[in-house]
Amino acid sequence: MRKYIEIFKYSMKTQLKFILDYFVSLISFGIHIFVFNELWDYILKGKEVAGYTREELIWYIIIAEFITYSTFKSYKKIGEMVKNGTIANMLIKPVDFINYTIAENLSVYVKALVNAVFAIVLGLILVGPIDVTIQGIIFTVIASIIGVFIGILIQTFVGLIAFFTEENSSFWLIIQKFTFFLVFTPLEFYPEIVQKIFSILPTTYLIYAPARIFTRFEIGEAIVLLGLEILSGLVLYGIIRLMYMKGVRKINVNGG
Amino acid sequence: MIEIDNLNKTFVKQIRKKGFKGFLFPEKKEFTAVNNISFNVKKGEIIGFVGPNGAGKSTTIKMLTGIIHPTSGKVTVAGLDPSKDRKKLAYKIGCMFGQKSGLWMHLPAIDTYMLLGAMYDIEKEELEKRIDKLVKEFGIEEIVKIPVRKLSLGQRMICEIVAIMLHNPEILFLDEPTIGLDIMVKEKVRKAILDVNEKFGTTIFLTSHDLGDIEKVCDRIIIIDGGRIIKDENIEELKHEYLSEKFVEIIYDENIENVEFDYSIVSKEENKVIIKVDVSKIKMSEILEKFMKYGNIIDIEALPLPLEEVIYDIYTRVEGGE
Repeated sequence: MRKYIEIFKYSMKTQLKFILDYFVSLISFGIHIFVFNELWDYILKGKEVAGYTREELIWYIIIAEFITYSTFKSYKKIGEMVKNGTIANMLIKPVDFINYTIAENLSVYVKALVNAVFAIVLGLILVGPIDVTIQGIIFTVIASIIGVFIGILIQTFVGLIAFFTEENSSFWLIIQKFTFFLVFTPLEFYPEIVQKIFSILPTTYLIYAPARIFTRFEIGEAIVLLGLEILSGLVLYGIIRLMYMKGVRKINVNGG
Repeated sequence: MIEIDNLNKTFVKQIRKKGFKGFLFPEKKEFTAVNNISFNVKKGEIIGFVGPNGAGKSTTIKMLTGIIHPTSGKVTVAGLDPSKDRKKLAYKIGCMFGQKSGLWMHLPAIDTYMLLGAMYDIEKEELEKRIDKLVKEFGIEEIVKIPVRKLSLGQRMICEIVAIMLHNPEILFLDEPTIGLDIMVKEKVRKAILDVNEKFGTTIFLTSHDLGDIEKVCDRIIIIDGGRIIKDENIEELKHEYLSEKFVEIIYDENIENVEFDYSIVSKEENKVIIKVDVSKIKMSEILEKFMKYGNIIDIEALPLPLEEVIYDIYTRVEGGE
C-alpha cells in the first residue's frame, strides 16, 4: 500500500506543475456552460421538458460537465507506453501496473475539486440556486467521487486497448460521443430503447448518476444509482484486469 | 547467477498477402528469434552480449527479465524462473533500457529515488542512507535536485544508473546504455558500470552496438547471430585468437598516388594508408619493402585489430558458412 500512496503523492507533485493548464481549461468549461445555458433558454422558453425546468437542466449539465472535465487523458500515456515498449520499465518493477496507473491518476481529484468550486460558483451566477437538500448534496458528492474514479478506469480501459489494436484514440472518440449525449441531455430525454442501451454503459453512471441525484434527488433512486455506479466500476475494473492479463501475454516490447 | 539451457523463443508473424482474401486471412509464419541457446554467468562477471540487429539480443534479455516467456528451455536468474517469479525477481535485478528512461521527467531525480524506494519496499531511513551513499559515489550531489528534463543526456544516464542500484540488485541488465551519447559521456557511463561491479560485486549483463563499451567494460563476450550463439569467450582470449591479424598504418612525408596494393586496404588518405594483414603469413619487412617504393615512409605502426573488426570478421565467417 505504501508504494501506491507514494505514487499518488508524486503524481500530485507533478500535476501541481500544470496548475495554469487547469485554470485555462476552466475557461473552456465556462464557455460550454454559457453556450448550453443560452441554447436551452432559447429551446425551452420558460417551459419544462421531461420534468426538468431550465434551471434544473443547466445544473444537470454543470454537474455532468464538471465530471467530464475532471479527467486526465491518461489513455494516451498508457497507449504510448504499450506501443513504444516503455511499459517494460513497469514490468520489471515489483509494482502492479493497473494499481500503479490508478494511483497515479488519483491526483485528478485535485482538478475535480477546483472544477467543483468553479461549477458551483458558475451555476449560482448563471441560474441561481435550485431546491437541494443536505442529503442530496452528500449523495451527489459520493456519486461524483465514484464518477471521477470510473473516469480513471475508462481512461485505463482505452489505454489498454493499445495491446490489441494499432490505434486506441478512435475508441476514446466513441466514448466521448456517448458522454456528450448524456452531458447535453439527461437519460430521460431519450427513447426507451436508447435508455436501455445507455444503461449498460459505465459512461452513463459516471455522468448521469451525480447529475441526476443533484437535480432530482429522491433517496430510493439515489441509492439505486449509487449501486449501479459501484457495479459498473467493479465490472470495468474486472474487464481491465482481464485485458491486462491477456495483453501482457502477447506483449512485444520494442527495443534492441 | 544466470543459467540458460536450450532456450528458444519463436514468434508468430502475420504476413498479409495481396487481395481482399489475403487481407482477411493472412498467412501465419513462425519466426525463431532465439534458437536453442545455452550459457551460464557467474556472480560478479561482466558479460557483453553482442550481435547484429535482429540477432536475438533484446529477446534474450526480455526472457531473462521475465518481460516475455520462452517458448521452450530453462532459464534461471538469481535462482528464480523469470516467467514464474517476475515480481520476486524484480527485487534482485536492475534494468536499464538505453532509449527508455526510468526517471520521472518533471521531477528531480531525488524524487524518483524516493518513489522507487517505496516501490521496492525499502524503509525510509535505509533508503535515505542508500541514496546519500550512491549520490556521493557517483558525484551527482549537484544535480539530483534539478528536474530530470533539465539535465543533459549524460547527467540523466548517471542518474538512471543510481536509480537501478537503489535496491541493491544482484544483477544489472543494461540494454544499449550508451546509445546516442558522445564519447566523453560514454566514458563516464562505462566508468560508472565498472564502479558498480567493483564496489558492489554486481553481475552485469550488457548489450551494446558500441564495441568500445564491450572492450572497455566486459570480461567476457557472447556473440549471438540469427538467434544462435556463435562465440562465447573471454575478451582477451578472443583478441589473442586474432593476434596475428593487425592493422598496419604507414605514413609518408607527402601525398602518394597511383599506387597498387595487394593487401586489404582499410583506409587511404593523401599521405597515409592503413592495411589489414596477417603477420603470421606476411613479414613486416616484406610490407615495408613493398610500400617503400611509393614514397618516403616517416612512420609505420602495427596495431592490434579493434574488437569491432574482430566481431565483423566473425560475422562474415558465420555468413560464409565457416
